[in-house]
Amino acid sequence: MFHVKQFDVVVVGAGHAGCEAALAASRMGLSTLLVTLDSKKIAEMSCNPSIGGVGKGQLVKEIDALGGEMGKNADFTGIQFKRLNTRKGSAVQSSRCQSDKHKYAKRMAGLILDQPNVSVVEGEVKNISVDGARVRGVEVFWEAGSAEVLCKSLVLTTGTFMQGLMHCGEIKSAGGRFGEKASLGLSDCLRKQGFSLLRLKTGTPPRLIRSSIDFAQMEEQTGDRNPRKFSVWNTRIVLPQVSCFLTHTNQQTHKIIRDNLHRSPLFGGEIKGIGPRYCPSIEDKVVKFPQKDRHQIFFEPESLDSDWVYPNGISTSLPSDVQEAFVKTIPGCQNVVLARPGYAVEYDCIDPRQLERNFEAKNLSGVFFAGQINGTSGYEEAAAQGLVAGINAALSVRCMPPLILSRTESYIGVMIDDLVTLGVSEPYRMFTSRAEFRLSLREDNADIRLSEHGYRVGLLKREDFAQVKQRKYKIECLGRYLRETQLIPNEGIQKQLDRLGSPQLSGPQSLNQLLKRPELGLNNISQLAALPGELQVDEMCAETLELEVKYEGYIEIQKQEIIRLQKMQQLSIPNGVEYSKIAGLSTELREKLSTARPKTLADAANISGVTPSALSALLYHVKKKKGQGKKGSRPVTPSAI
Amino acid sequence: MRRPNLDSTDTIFALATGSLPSAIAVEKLAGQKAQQIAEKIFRRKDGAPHKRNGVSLGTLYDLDNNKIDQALLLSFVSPHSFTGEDTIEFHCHGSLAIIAKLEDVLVQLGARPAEKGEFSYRALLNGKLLPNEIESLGDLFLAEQAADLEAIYGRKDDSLVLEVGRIRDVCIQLQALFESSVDFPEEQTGVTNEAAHCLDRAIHGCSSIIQRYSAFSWGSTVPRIVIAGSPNVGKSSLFNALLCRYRSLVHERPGTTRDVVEEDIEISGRRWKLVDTAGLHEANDGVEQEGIRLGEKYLSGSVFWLLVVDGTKGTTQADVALLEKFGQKPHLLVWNKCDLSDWTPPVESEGTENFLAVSAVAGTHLAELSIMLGDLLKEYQPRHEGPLPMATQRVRLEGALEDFLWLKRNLGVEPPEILAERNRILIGKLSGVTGEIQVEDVLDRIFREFCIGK
Repeated sequence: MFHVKQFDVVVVGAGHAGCEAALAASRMGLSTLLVTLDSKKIAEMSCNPSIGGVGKGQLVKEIDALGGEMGKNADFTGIQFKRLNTRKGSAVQSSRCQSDKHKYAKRMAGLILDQPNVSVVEGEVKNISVDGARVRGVEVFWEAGSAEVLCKSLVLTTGTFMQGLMHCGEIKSAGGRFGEKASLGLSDCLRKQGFSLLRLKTGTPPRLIRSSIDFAQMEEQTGDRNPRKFSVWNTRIVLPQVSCFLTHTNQQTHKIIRDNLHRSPLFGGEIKGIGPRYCPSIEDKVVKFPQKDRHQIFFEPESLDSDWVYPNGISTSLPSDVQEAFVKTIPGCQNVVLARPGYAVEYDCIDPRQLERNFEAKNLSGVFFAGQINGTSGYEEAAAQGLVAGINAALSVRCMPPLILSRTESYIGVMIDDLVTLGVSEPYRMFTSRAEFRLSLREDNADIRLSEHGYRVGLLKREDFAQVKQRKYKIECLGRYLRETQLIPNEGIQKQLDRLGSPQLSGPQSLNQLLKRPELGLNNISQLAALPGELQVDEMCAETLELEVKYEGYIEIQKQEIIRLQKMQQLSIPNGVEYSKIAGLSTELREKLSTARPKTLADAANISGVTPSALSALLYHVKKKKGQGKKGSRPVTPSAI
Repeated sequence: MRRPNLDSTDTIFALATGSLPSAIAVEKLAGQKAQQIAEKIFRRKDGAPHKRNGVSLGTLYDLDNNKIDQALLLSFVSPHSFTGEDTIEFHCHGSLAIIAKLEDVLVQLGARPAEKGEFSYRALLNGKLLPNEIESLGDLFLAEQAADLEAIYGRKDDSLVLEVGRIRDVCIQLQALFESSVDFPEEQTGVTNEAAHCLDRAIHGCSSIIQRYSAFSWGSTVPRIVIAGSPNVGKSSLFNALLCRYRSLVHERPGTTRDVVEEDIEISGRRWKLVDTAGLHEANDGVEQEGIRLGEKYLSGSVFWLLVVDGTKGTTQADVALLEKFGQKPHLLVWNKCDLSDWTPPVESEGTENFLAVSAVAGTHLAELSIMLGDLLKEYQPRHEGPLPMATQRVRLEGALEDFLWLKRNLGVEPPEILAERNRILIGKLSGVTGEIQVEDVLDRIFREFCIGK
């Protein structure tokens, strides 16, 4: 099937994580092999046909800033763009788009197939071969036989395919996605290598035939009039923009669901895996919130060229006849035709606490994990991990220091930190609330925050990085000008303020102070005081500056917090610490710490039950250890008493 | 002081006892060289060095073999000492010259004076004390009255943690409300009502803990007992007599404001201010009117007052006026001058309840008066309806309370992510009490706020 049986990097799985990993590694110049069960399903959107959302939009922007592909691909294949949370403060605004899922997959697959250094092979990886505690290669099986492929780094992105088991009512079938087979054997191999595995569950709604639905009975939801793209690089929104439609379930729908719960694998106990609480199936919603008499459903087009519609909000694993019956009670769906039933899928993933922050296994060098195999859910989460894992797999081959994104600089860092320190108890999804520094980690400044990393590892071109530096510089210059320039009120200015609905000035005030007023934007400021021509900025820079000024106080507090956290992260705990010898720790904590072996004080603080006194006991123990052997050189000060 | 720069390998010394001169002064020396230094400057009668473990009597010499003092030496061998290091205590005579000479010698032998709190810091470093124990120690030094001791010793970290934990739970609920409206914009959630309810609970919880702290002597103003009455009825005599009785417990403090004199006094294990108002209704000129105004101000601010009456004359019009005005406030009638022959007890109309026959000058029944006062004042003991927060915890809780009030004001005004941010910071403050992170600043504060000069 292929001639070369040795690659720098092998990526297993061609979903959203696998694609980013393969592209990153190959673009960094390494020979890369992408192994997939079905090469026609590269970058398939298995569930909803959309990219972004609250918290997820930030991830896409960060992927873009690091030199990943998801944002660009979403721009070129998006058919409706929308900014969420626009009525709230701008710091938590997120981007989302509906994608033409076929065009999305096709463009991504095309990029990979055209990418030099990447080979794609259809097959199944059942075994990882090792040399001591280091990966040697993988055993790839295909119809004609099998072969060992040697590699220096391995990235596993198996998605829902590892021991995948689908449920649709009483029917169970092995497989990771509708109509596709499962990956069997890899779980056992990982167990043998000492990994502990978890079983999670996710689900998807039935797909409906568009022409059988009467959208006139639903509420039309259009995209933004001025759609904003994800990528800060050279992309365009090229596809025609279309609408979604909102409707609701009703009591009749709920009755059918309740009457058939005994046929649900979820309630019958067939499904053992843990599903996401934030994305419950419709049967879950009906059972857990009996007081709600209706639930929202968004009808999302899957593609411009297909007749399929995705009904967002009714993910289910009830039998297909029940699905059809309850969908038909929904207004506009009386004559609906199901293109495909919904189903639940259970799959194996690893406990991500077995990973380092670069996604490399702690106990098996050279093996990286990304995406759902780490217990996450969502295309964006997967892609972000795939990108980081791909970059680090490549850096590892080059014997270069890893790229570690911290939670103080990125949502991706938050996700990594959460995964490797806290583990997962349900499929992990990004929320803005997970990012304690979210007022600083915004979509608008993702490029400023992260593009340096992308440039350093070689995924961004010099001119792209220069463009970001230029933008940053412009913002700083204008920021300084606003702080240093006083507006002296005169009659004209007071009148203008009246017109803008802003209180009059009682005396001279800096433009910066004025911009803090919620009702004033940078455009208003430039009306009140003409800004020098060389300080004119585009809309994007204006947005970043406005946010920085308006949230200044909070961002400052967060900066302090970041510094403190960084200090704690720098306080490393030596490997050989004997927790049993630290005075002031409870037996329980000693055990917990001995098992977790935190690397830094910040990690230790993250362990549940670790109190400030426990931490300080630990801190002093560590400091004392470090202080030993150091000769004192402090001068005597005889006046101290 | 910058603690991390302190070299914990130095041998340090400090005067452990109070100001000189004094009967005995104790100089404490701790560190690796403590034993070695002691051997050089201390000899027992038979010329032998001190005992490694225990007490030795002998003489202190300087480096030229001149006698400094006769001294008792206590030796503690590591790790059985306060700091966990070798420690020597020199019990000398409390003379400035002796201590100056001794410290001079110690410096010459390579020890250095301890920074404030350094002994405790070393105890912490060496695992002899935990941070919260150090903080309790800090409170102990600040404690001024017997009741404080009870509160400090009875302090159970756990129960306060539980209590603050409950407030934190409310906060987390609040956070969930704010976050849900940010992270799930498609679900319509009305947060304001529930959030307001949560805030009320949190504000109540926080302020009740803080109030508990302010019931302590170092956290509050001291309650006042005011002595009032007409001129020349013996108020000042009574004032002096009472102070004299408690003299051993009285602190010398400036407190003379105009013609109002106040002094500290301890009754039933609690510290009070005893206030002598030098005549409330004596004259009509401006200055004295001001005096009267001031006296009344003290009376209305007092928790208890004594109306002193000349038992040879009975109540005056001024006394009646006072009783009318302040009769509702707990008080005691002191029927003074009972040593005089024309003294008569009060009649029905003058109020016979809560009266005591006394002679401030002759000292008659003063003991009874003090017992009676003790009983009557018992109910004004600070009440502790829960665990007492430590100072650093209180500072955090006060910060938290401020944030809670801010949130209440801005509910529905600020966007949810700002409310959430404020609340998140708040949870951090409460976490500083209940557990998790923020270690470094807790410790910085401990050593910044408390001078534990041991």
